[in-house]
This record gives sequence, C-alpha cells and structure tokens, in this order.
Amino acid sequence: MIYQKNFMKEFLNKLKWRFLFFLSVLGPGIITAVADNDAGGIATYTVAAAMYGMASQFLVIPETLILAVTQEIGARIAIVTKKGLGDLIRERYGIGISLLIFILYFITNQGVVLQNVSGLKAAFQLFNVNWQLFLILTCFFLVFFVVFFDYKKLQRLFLVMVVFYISYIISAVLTKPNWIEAARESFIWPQKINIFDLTFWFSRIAVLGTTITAWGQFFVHSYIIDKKLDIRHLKYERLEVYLGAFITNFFSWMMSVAVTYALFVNGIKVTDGYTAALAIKPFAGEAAFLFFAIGLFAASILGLTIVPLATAYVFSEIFGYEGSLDSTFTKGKIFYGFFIAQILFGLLVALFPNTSLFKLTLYVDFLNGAMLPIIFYFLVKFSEDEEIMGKYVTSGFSRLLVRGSAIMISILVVLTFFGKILKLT
Amino acid sequence: MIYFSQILNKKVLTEDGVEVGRLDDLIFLSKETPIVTKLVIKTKKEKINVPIDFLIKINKQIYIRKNFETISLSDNELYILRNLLDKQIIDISGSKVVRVNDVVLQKEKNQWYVLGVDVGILGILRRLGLAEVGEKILGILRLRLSSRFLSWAEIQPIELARGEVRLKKEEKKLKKLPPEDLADYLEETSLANIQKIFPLLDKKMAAKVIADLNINYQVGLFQRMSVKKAASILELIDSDEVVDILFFLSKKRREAILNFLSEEKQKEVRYLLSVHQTGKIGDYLSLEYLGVSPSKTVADVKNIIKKETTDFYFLPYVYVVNEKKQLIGVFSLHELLLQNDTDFVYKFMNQNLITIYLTTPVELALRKMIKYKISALPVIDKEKKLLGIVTFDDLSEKLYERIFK
Repeated sequence: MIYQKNFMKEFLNKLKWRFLFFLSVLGPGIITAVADNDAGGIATYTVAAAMYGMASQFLVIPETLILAVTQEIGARIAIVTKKGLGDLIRERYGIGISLLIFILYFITNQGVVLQNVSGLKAAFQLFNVNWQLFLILTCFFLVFFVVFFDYKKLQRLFLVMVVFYISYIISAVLTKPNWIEAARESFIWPQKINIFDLTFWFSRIAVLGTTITAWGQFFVHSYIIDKKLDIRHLKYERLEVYLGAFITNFFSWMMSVAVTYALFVNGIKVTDGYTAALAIKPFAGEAAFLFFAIGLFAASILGLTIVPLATAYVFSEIFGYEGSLDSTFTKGKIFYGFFIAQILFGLLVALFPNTSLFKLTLYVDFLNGAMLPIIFYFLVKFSEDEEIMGKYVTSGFSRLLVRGSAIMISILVVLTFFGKILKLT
Repeated sequence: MIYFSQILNKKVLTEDGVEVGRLDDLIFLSKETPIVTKLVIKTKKEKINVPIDFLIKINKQIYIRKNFETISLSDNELYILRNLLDKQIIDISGSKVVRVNDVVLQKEKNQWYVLGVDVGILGILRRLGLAEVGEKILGILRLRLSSRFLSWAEIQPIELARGEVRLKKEEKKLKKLPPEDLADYLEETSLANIQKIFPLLDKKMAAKVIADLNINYQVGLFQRMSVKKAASILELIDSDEVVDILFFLSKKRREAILNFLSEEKQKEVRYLLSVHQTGKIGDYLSLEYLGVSPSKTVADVKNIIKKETTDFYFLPYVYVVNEKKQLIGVFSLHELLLQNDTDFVYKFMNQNLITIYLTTPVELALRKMIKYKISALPVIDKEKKLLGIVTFDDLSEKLYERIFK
C-alpha cells in the first residue's frame, strides 16, 4: 500500500511538472489559432450558419486536423532553426522574391486590419456607445500596450482576450440548442439541407478559408521565436499547437450553434456579425445578444493586434531589423512603426462613416488565397530540407500528411475565391 | 570598389571571347584581411572554382585567361553568396543582429578583398536594380539614404559564430575579433542585448567573452541563465574567476550551479570557496598606489612619480584610470622606462588586467599573484573602480602562517 501511495505521489508530481512545463510554452499555438477567428472570420461563420445551420460546420473534425498539421510545420521549423519564415525565405531565395512576398503580404494584412477595425466599430455600435470615441481610445491603448509591454505581459493580454471567446459558448447555450442534432449535422451527415447543393459547398469552403490564413502561418512562426523556445520545448509546443487548433474550431462551432438556433431555425438571413448579433436579440434574448457582441469585440481586438504584429515581424525578418516585443521603442523603432502605421490607417478609414468593406473583404480573401499556396510551398520545402531541419526533417507518413494538407488547403482556398467571384456564397 | 550584386551573374569569357559561363559566387579567405581567392563559375554543365589569379579584368563582362585551371575549396574559405549575402551578421559596434544586403569588394595591389557589407536600404534597392530611381524619388522628398556600411572588422557572420558554417580547418583566429574586444563592446550595451548575442556564440567563445565582462554583467548574466547553461559555461572559465563570480550570486543559486559542474571542477571551486572563511582581502587593502590618466605622456608620468610618491614604501606598478575612476590599464616601472618620453600611456599600457575584489579570499589572491607572477594586485569594485591594491609583501604573512603553523 505504502509503495503504491508513493508511486501515486511520484506520478502526480511528474504530471505536475509536465503540466507546468506545458504552461511555459502556452501561447503561440492557441493565440494564433484563435486569432484566426477574427472579425472577418466571424462574419463568414455567421453568414454560413444562418444559411445552412450546423451543416456549415460539416467535416469540422478533419478540418481541425488539417489546421493542426499545417500550424505544426511552422512551429517545428521555428523551434529547430530559430529563424522566422521571413528569415528563411530571404536567406534561401534572395531579396527579389522576399520583397515581392512582403508586398503581397503587407497589402493582405492591411486589408485584414481594416476588417478588424470595422468589426470593432460594429461591436461598439452594438454596445450602443459613442463608437468614434471608443474606437480611437481602443486603438490608442492597443498601441500603448504593444509598445510598452514586454512579450510576457502582452501574451497575458492576448490570453485574456482568448478567454472572452467563451462568451460564444454562453451565447450558444442561451439559444437553447438541440445539441444532438447539432452534433449530427456537423460531425456525421447533414440532413437539414441538400448536401449536393454546390453553393453549400462554396460556403463551406469559405468557412475553412477564413480559419487558415497567410498571416497565421507567418505569425505562429515569428511568435515562437520571440518567445525564445528551444528544442526541449518542441514536444510540448506541438501539443500546444494541436490544442490551439482544437480550441479555435470549438469556438467557431459554438458560434455556429448560436447563430443556427437563433436565426437558421427561424429562417433569418444575415450579412455580417453586426446584423447577426442584432437579429439574435428577439429570438434568444438580450443576454445572448450581449455575449455575442462581446465575442465580436474580443475577436476584433485580437485580430487588430495580432495581424499588424505579424506584418511587423516579417518586415523585420526580411530586412534585418530589430523585431521583438521585448525590445524598447527606440531599438525597435521600425518594428513598432510598422505596427502603428497599419492601425492608424485602419482607424482613419473606419472613421469615415460610410465605408463599405464588402468589396475589400473580397480582395483580401483573394490575396490570402493567392498567398497560401506559395507559403505552403515554402513551409513544405523548408520542413523537408535536411540542411535546415537536421533530424527534425519531415519524412515518411507525416510527409504525406503535410503535403496532402497543404495541397488540399491551397485548392480549397482558390476555390473559395472563385466561389466569391461567381457570387455563389 | 564594387558591389558584389553588380558582378553576380555576369558573363565570364576568356581573353579571346569564348564564353565560359556566368559568375555564380566568389570564395574568400575568412581571415583578418578577407582576400577573394576563387571565382565560382556556373558553366552549362557544372559549377567550377577558378583561382582569382586567372582573372584579367571585370568590365561589363568578366574576362579570365584561357588556360584557366579549376581548384577545390581549401581551408578557411567561405562563399560570399552562400555564407554572407542575405544572411544575418552581428554588427559588433552596435551589438545587434543585422542582415547583409550587399557585399563590398575592393581591389588593392592586384588583390581583391571583401571590404565590408552594406546593411542599409540602399543596398536593397541596388540589388533590385532600383538604386538610382530610389535616390531620385527620395531626393524629391528631400530625404537622403545613406549606405549603412560596416567594415569586415566590425562584423561577425552569425553562422560562423554559431558554428553552423564550419571552416575546414580549425582556425585559431576563427573569431577574428578577440573576446576581450567583444566584451568591451558588449559592456556598452544593455544586459538584454548581451543575452541576445550569447546564444549566437559557441560555448567556448561565450566563456571567453564572459570571463572578460565586468563583474556586474557577469552576475547579471548568471542570474538569468538556466542553471545548466551557467554551469556549462563556468566549466570553461578559470576556477579563480568562477569563484569571483559565484561570490556575487545568492547562496541558493550558487549551490544550484555548483551541482551541475563536473566533479573535478566542483571539487576545485568548492575548495576555493571554503577558504573564503580564512579572511578577506579587504583586511590587507593598501591605498599606497599611483593612478594616472591614459592621456598622459611618459614624461608626465615620470614627473608625477617624482612629485607624488616620495613617501611611498613600494611602487611596483602604475595604474591607469579613466575619468570615472575605473581601472583600464596597468604598466610596470620597467615598462615605463622602456618608452620614449613623448609616448602616451594608452599606447603601451597592458589592458589585460588581473584584478580582485574586496570579497576575494586571501588564498585566491595569493594564487593569482603566483600564477601570473605579479607582486601587487589592484582591488576593484563592481563598477571596475579602483579601490586600492594588495601587495605580495602584505599577504606573505598569511603564507608564512600556512606553511609554518
């Protein structure tokens, strides 16, 4: 008995240490994956869920796996090489290609920033406050935090924002959903809609396209390097990336539940997160509406901070400037400058009351779609290069998995865009 | 002076106009003067290395002698394109990591060598063929771009420092910058910066640099480093120095690091730590020393000695201190007499200092004196300020006690 007790104690102790070690790597995977559900993502989820109900989440399980696999490549390369994706592209492909990629990337990200500023604006409008004032204040505070907080503190802020996503779960519960039906529609086979409808599939792919983004691939990479993880952390970081992929899709599933059981069952169509939140009110009550709005707020803040950071990181990597959240403002002038400029530009555009972002979203999605295959090409190439990866090179079955996922996503994303051009979604 | 980007991919012809291929890379010797030794030419079939002796001239095209030979890579050689261009380097004077946008080559006395690297925006524009356009546009905006040029002496390729690119033969001056100099540079920047540079160096180099940092930085570093890493670096540092560093750490941390040292090292360091109880150097501190400024001449110093040291009992060395009272050099009277009267102190003083602290155990001080054959050691504080000296005469009493009692 005593032996067993000791054994248990030892086992628990070991578990405790493992857990603490896991906490030390916590951040990059979860933050990146959850931020993929930014304001633009929410718009896509809600529109799709209002149209097709929980069928819009059909095949969510394989989707989570693909997301996990692709993010893991980035995480692994980052930890093994201690170099950003930008670094590697510059070193392997020279200045010309690097610059081209950066320009594409910059424009895409600026578009995403705009989406998120307008998401934030919508959230403030839902809260029924003076949105101009709050928008300016929020942007000011964001800049302040990013410049003056070091990596650790900022990461805490990000994780708090991630916690806010729980409001979608509450919102979903408040709509009194039929859980079994929701699970059947998304995990097994949709029965509420005609599954052979082509427009359904385009909408479904669009949902996937917003989850896997170009900046997400770059960001998870740079962010891990800034966290200064080393090879000992690899095992745990992988786990964390997988967890991130799970959590983000869990949240978007909940979001879809909320929309489905407030709007889809009542046959109400919406165009974005803002109208969805408003439409939820009469069916699911004031509380569900409020939690939905809070979710939109958190998502916009997270997107609005992470995406410009993702640009600033890559700029620093490609052109060789100091690029770390731990550096002071004077040392990282260009890094922070890039961050601030993107937010300011987004803010200015959003302050004009009648800016329509519908067209913009289309272009952003196109650029994102055009970039993803290129990025996956680099990721796969680097991860299979023994000179770069040493013994951590992708090989065997995982090689198939990585390539398969990369190719599949590339195809799907390109399809999404054509779907949008043909107005199928 | 030409830029590497301007000659990369140029056609290579023999003197009678037969095309050989295109310039693919240059090979240079990674030494204090980085001489370009070979051209790498991409022919239709393969890449060949041609010794630079066969180069006739570089114009719009590159001409080489028609009886050229090929040769393989020899010791200590690196590629410009593969190992330098677009790679990260350490800008030593700025103590930061920057990226090489272009490489500057210089011809002097019939030899080509790597003058340095361009890390500025102009370098990027030049690579893209936009240098002139860029300058014009910025000229209109009344902005001027400067080429951010770093000379070869100011940089250290990270791959070299990290040991990722290995030179064929272990070169004594692999790190062509002496660790002492790197330490001096690093001391001028923040601790955070130092921490960033260290992971880039290999362990031996890091140990050398750390040994030369002042104690404040040493303590700062070892407080933040993981215990294991701290131990692995201390392992490479002289035991005497290790003890000095460990004294400034907390007892808990000291113990933790000690446990990770190898048995032999641990034994030695623990012994030195234990003799600490036998008395501290502070009890033997003497203020009878002479400190002069580095800008004084030999004649000045001689005058000072005549005027100010008449009542000195013992004057083996003259110490050189800066305006912050920090010890920066030392010379013996013998060394002073060997110089011309007009020479400046900073020119001949020894900068490699053997120092102790108030907390240094007497035994350790004795060990240092005997090891380095110095009859008096300067005692400094954490800021490197000179507090006084301890002479062998004073300590010999202690030695006597140990031997005969």
